[in-house]
This record gives sequence, structure tokens and C-alpha cells, in this order.
Amino acid sequence: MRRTRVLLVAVILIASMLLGACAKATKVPAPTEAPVATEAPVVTEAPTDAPAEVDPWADVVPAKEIVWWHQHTGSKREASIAKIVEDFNNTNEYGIKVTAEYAGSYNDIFNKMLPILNTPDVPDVVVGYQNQVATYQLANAMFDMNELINHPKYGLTKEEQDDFFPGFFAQDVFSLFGGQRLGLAPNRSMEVLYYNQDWLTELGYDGPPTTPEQFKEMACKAAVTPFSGATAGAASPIGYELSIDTSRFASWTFAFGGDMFDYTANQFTLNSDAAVQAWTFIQSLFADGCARLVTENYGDQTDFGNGTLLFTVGSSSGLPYYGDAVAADGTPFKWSVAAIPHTTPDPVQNVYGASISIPKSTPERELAAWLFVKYYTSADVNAEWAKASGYFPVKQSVASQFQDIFDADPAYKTAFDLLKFGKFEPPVPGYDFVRKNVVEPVMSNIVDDPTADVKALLDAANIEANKILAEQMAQIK
Amino acid sequence: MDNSAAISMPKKAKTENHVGRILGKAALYLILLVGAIIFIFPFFWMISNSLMTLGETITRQLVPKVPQWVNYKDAWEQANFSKYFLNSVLVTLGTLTGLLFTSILAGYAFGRIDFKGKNLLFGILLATMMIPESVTLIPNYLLIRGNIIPLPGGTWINTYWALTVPFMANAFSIFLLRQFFAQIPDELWDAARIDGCDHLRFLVQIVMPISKAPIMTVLLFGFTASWNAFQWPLLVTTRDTWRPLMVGLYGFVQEAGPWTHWMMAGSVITIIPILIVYFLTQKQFTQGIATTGLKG
Repeated sequence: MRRTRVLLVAVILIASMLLGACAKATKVPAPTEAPVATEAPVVTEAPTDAPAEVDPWADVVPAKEIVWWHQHTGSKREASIAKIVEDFNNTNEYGIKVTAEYAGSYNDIFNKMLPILNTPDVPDVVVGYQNQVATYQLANAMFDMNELINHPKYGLTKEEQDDFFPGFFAQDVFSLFGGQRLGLAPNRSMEVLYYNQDWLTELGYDGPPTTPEQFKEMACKAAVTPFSGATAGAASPIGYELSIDTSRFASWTFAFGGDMFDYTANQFTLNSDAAVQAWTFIQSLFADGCARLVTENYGDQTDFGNGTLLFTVGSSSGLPYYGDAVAADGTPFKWSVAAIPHTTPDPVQNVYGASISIPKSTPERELAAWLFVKYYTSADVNAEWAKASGYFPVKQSVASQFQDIFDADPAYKTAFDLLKFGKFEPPVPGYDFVRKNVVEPVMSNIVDDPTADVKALLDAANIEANKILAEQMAQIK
Repeated sequence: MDNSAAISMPKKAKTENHVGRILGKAALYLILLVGAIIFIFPFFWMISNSLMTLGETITRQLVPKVPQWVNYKDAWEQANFSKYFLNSVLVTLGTLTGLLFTSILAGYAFGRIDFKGKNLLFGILLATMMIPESVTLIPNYLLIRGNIIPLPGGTWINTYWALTVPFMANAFSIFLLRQFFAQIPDELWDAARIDGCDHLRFLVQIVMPISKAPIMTVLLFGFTASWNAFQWPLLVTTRDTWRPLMVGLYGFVQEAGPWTHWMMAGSVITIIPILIVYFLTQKQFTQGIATTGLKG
């Protein structure tokens, strides 16, 4: 009897806790229910009797205090950010004060943003990759910068807009959202081919490969001809190491003249002819023993530094790491970077990097945020930031300010000259899922099995990727 | 009868026994040595890497060519350790104070006081240990933001309270102390009652002094958890006002790779307080584990 009573009490207690939790949950305002979103002025909401003449920003006074969430760490970057913010705070004519806050990694920021979208708690400026920003925009939570970028008073002049590398400028315009501009690039990195020049010379080549055929010939020769400067006891020699990373998939597909996305049809194109050719080529490298997989994070840096790896493809932001790795044993060999070997007339380089975006809040906060974004991406500030961060600048005109860096680091100059060939990965919601759950497993399958049908695998992957995209787009508010 | 064989047999057996014992001991020491190397190697690797150049860490050298002592200074400055170190100390002190207060009182209540629904409540408390931390992360975050219940000050984001209050009560610590308190003989309580003690006085003057070992164990577990906290502080702080050491350490991971030499130097700095606390409480910690029935 007593046991029954205890059981009854337990059931009632648990039920009441569950009900309580449900009741509490309903009190939490859903992002889209927040009143702030409706307060945000949107050009299309302007009175219909005179839409062209009315300037919705005419009477807006920029907010005095705004917050910027970023992911930058390290004393050099943080000092540079502090200086940029201080300069802006001291010089802007509107009295805007920006507070820059380190809010964790890209993923941390993404996770922090999701529960506060469309609430007053959002930061005024936030860093984010394009696919993350696209996910925010499923909730209609981001400010469309098109409203201000051409504004006669607050916008960018045509010269300022043209000064951006075209690929970088276009990257934050989202075809999925009717051409909305949801960000502006302050810096970029690029996938490049790292190569060991001394080893190439020993193999009888003057310089890096420019075509896939040359690449394969050199890589296969290196796999059976160790480099004289290799560290004793290090890994066996190999021509190329591939890390299972969707950015590598994009790099090779781009270099074969393809794309991962059709921006007219708004569909993934993982199974394009170029992608099939590119990945059949990579599969043959593995089948012929000229390539192997990177088995641990940044393991290609290790093998490259030890002189046992001839080629690797990676981000230009790794330049200092490769430099230090090569110099580690005191007898550095000659190395540099080049374009990914390509079948196209010009190189096509995979560029990426987070942009800065403005979450929807109030017109005053949005305007103040835009004015800071404009300042942060202006040519001189951009040059200052690129020098401090080690990223590439986004403005073409800053090259003249980089001569000292070009002289000191020829590899950086080589990579800088490739920026104009930039192309980007799809800025669509759900791209993280596609990267991890669709593309990367397919990459593994292709290189693990020399008899795998590349076309069939990519066809299946493409269907899956478009399914994920459709599921994401169905969530648009 | 020739007795020599009979006499020599025990001698031989003795010698064999002796050799067997030596071999047994040698095997034991070998196993212990291998175990010691396995446990010590990560520490050796950490210290060795903390004295290398970045290039040496990338190319996986075992020892640095020239020890880079400057890494410690660089790591300290790069990650703003002077500020974060103080934050970690304050957060840990606050958390431990609250943790000991709640754990001792709750452990005593569950272990020594009979009240209605005690077992049910204790069962519910233990059930909370089965819920993975990642599941409660977002609800806890919303709680701290003041979305679920009103909090003093509106929101606790970027405050000392967000970093300490959620960890001031812990089911495991209550369980551990309850196990120990329940074993204290009732005669002690009876004697104390005769001398006019109430529960609080009995707890403070009798139970706590004889429970140093489990209390120290709770202290050590709490200290380690609070000192090493990373994900929660990262989530609830957007400014560096209350950011702790571990978050500073995370700053050495960049997109293109980690600054391993600085990260290891920073790691050495961050584990020093843990080692000090461990050596100070080692005896009580071992006793605590042994006397509360937690050893495997």
C-alpha cells in the first residue's frame, strides 16, 4: 500500500515537472515572435504612394552604442581590432561607440546567435560564414545591406564597390534570398597548392605543375624518389596528401571548371561533369600509389615540414605554419605556393572567409552598425587589418601598401596575385550538413575504393544535398 | 642411505623459489614501469612541446633543440592570462564555497535525517546524474539569460553569478557525502543528543571533523571541475570581464592550426594550481575514495 502511494506521488511529481517545463517553455519567446523584428524598417514597407522618393533613413539617428561579436584571438589580432575600434570611436562624426567582444569560435557564435535571433539581445555586428548567415536568414533575422550600400549619404561609392575583389564582393549576395546582401567581407583566405621546390628540382622539374597531368606525373615520381633533405625517421615519401574536407572537393572541382552550385536554379551540382572528372583524377592518384590521406589534423603540415610530402592543398592562412615547419630542423628547403593545377585557361581558386553581418534590430542600431562595417572594410583600415591578421585584404587598391610584406614573403605575394581568380563555395543554409554528412563521406568512398563509380556516388550525393537544401528552405519564415 | 639428495632438494627448491620471486617482482616492476611511462608521457610531451618552436611542434620533434623558455612569457601575455587567472581563482573559490555548503547540508539531511519522501527525493537527485550535460546546456543557458524565470538583475550573462551559481550544487557531491554520513554510528548521535546537540551542532562539531576525507574529495572534484570549466564560461560570457583561464587557452587554436607551443606552455601554467591542490589533499582524497565505497 505504502509502495503504491509512493509510486503515485512519484508519478504526480514527474507529471507536474513535465507540465511545468512545458508551461515554462511556452513562455520563452520564439525568435520570430519578438517585437523587435517588426520594428525594423524595411524599404518595401515604405508608404506605397511614394516609394521612390521617400528615404527611410533620412530621419534615422545612428545609435550611440553598438556591440560587435567576433572570433579573433591572439595579441596581434586583438590589438589591431582594439585600435580599429578605438579609431572609429574617436573619429566617426555620429558619436558611435563600438564595443568589440570576443564571443568564441565561429561555431560558438553560431550557437549563441540561434536562440537570440530577432530579439533585442542580438549583437549589432556579428562575424559569420555565409552558410551560417543564410541559416539566420531562414528566420528573416538579418539586415539586407542593399538598403544602405548604395545610399547617397551612407553608402559606398561605385569606386569603393569596384575596389573589392569581384569574387569577394559577390560572395555575400544570396541568390536564395532574392539577391539580398547579408554581409560584407573584411578579409579572405584561399586554397593554394603548397610545393617543395628543392624536391621538384631533384626530380628534374623547374617549377610547380599547372595542369592535372603534370601534377600527377610529379606526384607519382616523388612517391618513389625520396627527397634528399627529408628528416630521418619521418613518414615514407608521397606526392600528395588529401584531407577529407569539402573545401578540397570544391578546390579540385573549381580547377576542373566546375561549380558546386547552380545559382540560377538554386540547386547543388555536386555531380557536374567537371566534378566527376576531378574526382576520377584524384581517385587515380590514390589507385596508382601517388597520394594518401592525411590521417590526423594538420598532418600534411608535419609531412611537408619533414620533407616527405611534395604537394598539399590547404588554406593560405597556413602560410606561417608551413614556413615554421620547414625551418624547424635548421636546414630549410625552398618551398612556395601556386594555383591549384587546372584544366581551365586561367586558374580558379577557392576563396573563403567569414564576413561581417548585421542582425535585424532597430533602424538606429542597424545604421550605426552599417557605418562601422563601412569603416572596417574601407581600404586603409582593410590594409591595416590584413597586415595584423595575416589574412588577405579584400580591396585591390591596398596592394601598394603591401610591398614590404611581398618582399619579405614571396609566397604571400604569389597567393595575393591569385586572388582575382577567386570563386566561392555555396552560401546556402544547411551547407554544414552537406559538407559533413554528404560530401566528405563521398570523398572517402572515392579514394578508398579505386573501383568505385565516381559518377554514381556523386549523383547520389547531389540528390541528398538538394534534399537537405529543400528541407532548410522549407523553414523560411 | 644417501641423504645428500634429500638435503639438496630443498636447497634447489629454495633457490628456484627465490628466482621465481625475483622474476615475479621483475615482471611486476616492468608492468608498473610501463604503466608509469604511459601515464607520465603526456606530461613529458606537454612540457617538451611547451619549450619548442612552432615548427618543432608541427614536425613532431620529441625534445626541443633549444628550450624556448620565452614561450611561457608569450603564452601568458598572448592569452591575457594575468586577468583570466584571477578570474579563475575567484570563480573557483565562489563555486567551492557554495558547493561545500549545499553538499554538506544536503548530504547530512539525506544520510542522517528521516523525513517523508526522502528516498524518492534522493532517487530524483541521483537521476539528474544520468542526464548528459550537453542536453541541459541550452535550457541552462536560457535560464541564466532570464528567459525561464525572472532573475535578480534581469540576466546573468557576463556576470560572476552565471559562472558560479549553477555549480554550487552537485548531485554527485551530495551522494558522496551522504554515503559517508550514513555510516557514522548512531551512538555518536545519541551521545550528542544527551549532551544537548541539535542537528546543526552535531554536523558542525562532530560529523564534519571526522569527515575530512570525503569533504576533501568533494573539494578536489569541485576544484578540478570549476578550474577546467570551458564550454559553459564560453557560452555565458561575451566580454572578458569574467572569462576564465581555459577560455584563454582556447584562443591558441586558429583556423589554420593550433599554436601548440603556446598552448602547451599555457597548459602547464593552468595545471600548476590543480597539482598543488592535489598534493595537498592527496591523503584525504585517497581515504575519501576508500571510505565512501566509490573505489572500483
